[in-house]
Amino acid sequence: MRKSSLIKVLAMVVCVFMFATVVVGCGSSSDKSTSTAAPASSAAPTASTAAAPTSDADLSGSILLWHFNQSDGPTLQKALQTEFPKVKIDLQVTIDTNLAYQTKLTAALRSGSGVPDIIPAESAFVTRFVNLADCYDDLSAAPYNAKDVTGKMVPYTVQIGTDTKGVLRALSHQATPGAVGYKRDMATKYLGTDDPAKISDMISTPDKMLEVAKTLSDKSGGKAKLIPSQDELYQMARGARADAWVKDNKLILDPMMTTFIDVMKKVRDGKYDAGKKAWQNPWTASFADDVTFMYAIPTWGIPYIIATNDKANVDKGRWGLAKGPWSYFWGGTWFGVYSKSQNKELAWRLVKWYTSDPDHLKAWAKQTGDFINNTDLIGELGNDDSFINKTVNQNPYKVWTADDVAKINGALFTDKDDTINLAFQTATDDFFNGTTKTKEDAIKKFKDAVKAKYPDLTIE
Amino acid sequence: MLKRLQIDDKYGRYGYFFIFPFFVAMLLFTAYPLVYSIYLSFTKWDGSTIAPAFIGIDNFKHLVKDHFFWDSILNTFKIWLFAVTPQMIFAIILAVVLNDKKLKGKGIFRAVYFFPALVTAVSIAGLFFQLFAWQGGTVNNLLISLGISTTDSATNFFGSIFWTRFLCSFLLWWLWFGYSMIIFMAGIKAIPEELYEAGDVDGAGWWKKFRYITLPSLRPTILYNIVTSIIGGLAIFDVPYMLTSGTGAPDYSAQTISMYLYSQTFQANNYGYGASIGVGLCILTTIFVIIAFKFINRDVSID
Repeated sequence: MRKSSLIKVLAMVVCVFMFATVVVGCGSSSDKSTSTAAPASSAAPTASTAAAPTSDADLSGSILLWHFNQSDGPTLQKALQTEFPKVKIDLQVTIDTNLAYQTKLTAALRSGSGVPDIIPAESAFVTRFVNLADCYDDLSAAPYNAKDVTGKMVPYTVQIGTDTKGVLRALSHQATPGAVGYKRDMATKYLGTDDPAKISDMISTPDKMLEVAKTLSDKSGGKAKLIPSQDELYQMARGARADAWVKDNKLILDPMMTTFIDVMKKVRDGKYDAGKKAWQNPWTASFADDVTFMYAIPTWGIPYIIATNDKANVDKGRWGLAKGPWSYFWGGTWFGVYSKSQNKELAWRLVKWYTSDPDHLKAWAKQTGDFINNTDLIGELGNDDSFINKTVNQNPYKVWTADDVAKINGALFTDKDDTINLAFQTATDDFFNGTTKTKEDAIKKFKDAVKAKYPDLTIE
Repeated sequence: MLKRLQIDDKYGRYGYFFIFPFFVAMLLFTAYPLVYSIYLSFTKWDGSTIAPAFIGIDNFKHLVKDHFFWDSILNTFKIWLFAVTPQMIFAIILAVVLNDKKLKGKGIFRAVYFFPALVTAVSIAGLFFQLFAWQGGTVNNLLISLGISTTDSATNFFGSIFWTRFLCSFLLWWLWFGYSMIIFMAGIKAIPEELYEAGDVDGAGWWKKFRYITLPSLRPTILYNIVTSIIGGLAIFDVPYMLTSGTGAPDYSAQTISMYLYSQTFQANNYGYGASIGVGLCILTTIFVIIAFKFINRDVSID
């Protein structure tokens, strides 16, 4: 009898253990979020009762922060942590390769569990989440009243953070006009000058740029290349469009995109590009070489593209910034508060500080060379002759004036951009490498691919 | 007798507790998603908190006319065929060779050939993606340094339909031939030794013994291998996804059914349509498995 009851107990224990393994195994992700959310909700009252009068240094509580980039995420966390030392900032990075971050965020929003209090979103997908139900809270209403801080922001950044119904949902700390980053040593060697103004003039039109490409090639015996990948020209052309991909539920092929195909075809046929793919190892390695001449460098590209990939020359002024053939913008990160967050006020204090605090923005600009989202400061930094970014040995704020930034068209973003861009690049890549024979076929295949993904769109 | 056993077996019912976890997991992760996908395939949904809208069989009407879907089936088949053919041939030959009693170091070879099956396909595909990159890729750099090719004439492997599909097939072959080989070896071990002895008596050489004893006796094993590879083949995803950065480029020639499902669902956020592709894939798999089972049953009856 005793033996049998022992066996019973043993069987039950084993059984419970096995079941527990299954439950723990499948519940890991939601478990994680509850464990981080629990202290958050308990800390919320302290934050909210003391919110208004408390200084940043005294604020306490806990915030769950997600990010899609392995280097930006920790940088952001560090900046926030320095300003808000008593707030526990729990950072979880999911790199958006193959849309992992977006898929995870969509799933979390759907289940309503484990959603971060602060949701960063990149230009490629911000419009989708700004317009997604239950994602971002309305920042124009109380307790946020974000209109108080948007006055000094560059208008297009606010436009992008606003949903199609006109509700403000996300803010950005940066504006992202784009330039051409070039290697000064190569410029001097092959073009006889490294002066940004002269280089800007040499590449001010696509034809002139192609001449530069030929000069580089001729003088180096075919070794020097104008650009590393077709992505460089693509980013420039895409950010220089007049119309978004979709307007009134109709697919629009902006003339700039056909110009891109023409120019890039000439570049490929002349063997002026190095045949790499953006963000992949051979591409990142090319920053340190003396073969590839120029890159599409938006404002954030100084710290996050050049400095990250040409580490040896971060403070040596090897690089220069010029204006390219097209005036464009590229990228940007927006931040908003989750609509069902337990820590809305605390999350907002962090977002507000990061995107609009003038002292922080100014320090950030000087530290990184990033282009901040405050029209007053853009003007001030542009007139500050003592401000030189060491990576490019220039004041980046002299390359882009407040006027340039004001011209950026915030209506270029749609919630279908990611898919349409991919379809376009796949189709044009096939044309550049010869799989598709004519430009017309490439465009047809592009439209065909978009139609398959968005059958409701009008495509002519 | 059975009844008596059941009455005597006081602990029999504990068996239910032991199988309980499996059924929980199966219901949660297999049955529920399956039923839910079928439900989703009749809806239009963007994956948000707004509930899916029922649209009847619209997704399926669209699916039948969607050439990307049909192309993806064809792509899957091509990649599968060029992977599975050499896979089976190599596996059988190696299994026969490694069953040779006179061969030394069989254990080592067996292990070495099986190793690829232990590696995650994604990591190997990631590695191959780097190796075969156009400019700056290891293989092209090697060819250039050997003087076989130049920077300007370097092969754009992933810009070519042939090379992209070839590399997908090659990787799948390389990953799985060791696994098939182990199964064939087990099959060969089960062939009675007397058959070979009789063959020796009749003066049969190596080839004749292979052709008339080994191969016919291996038929059920070959069929088993083919059936499992059909099921695995229809779900090919990781290798072509990694090699083409998820696009299936060039010209969607390496876009498999699963990849198309994935891109419709998670990239374009057409969850409903993606689910209908999944249902299509499920139907396709069922048809193939039924055909394969017919073959196996026929074979058993011959035995």
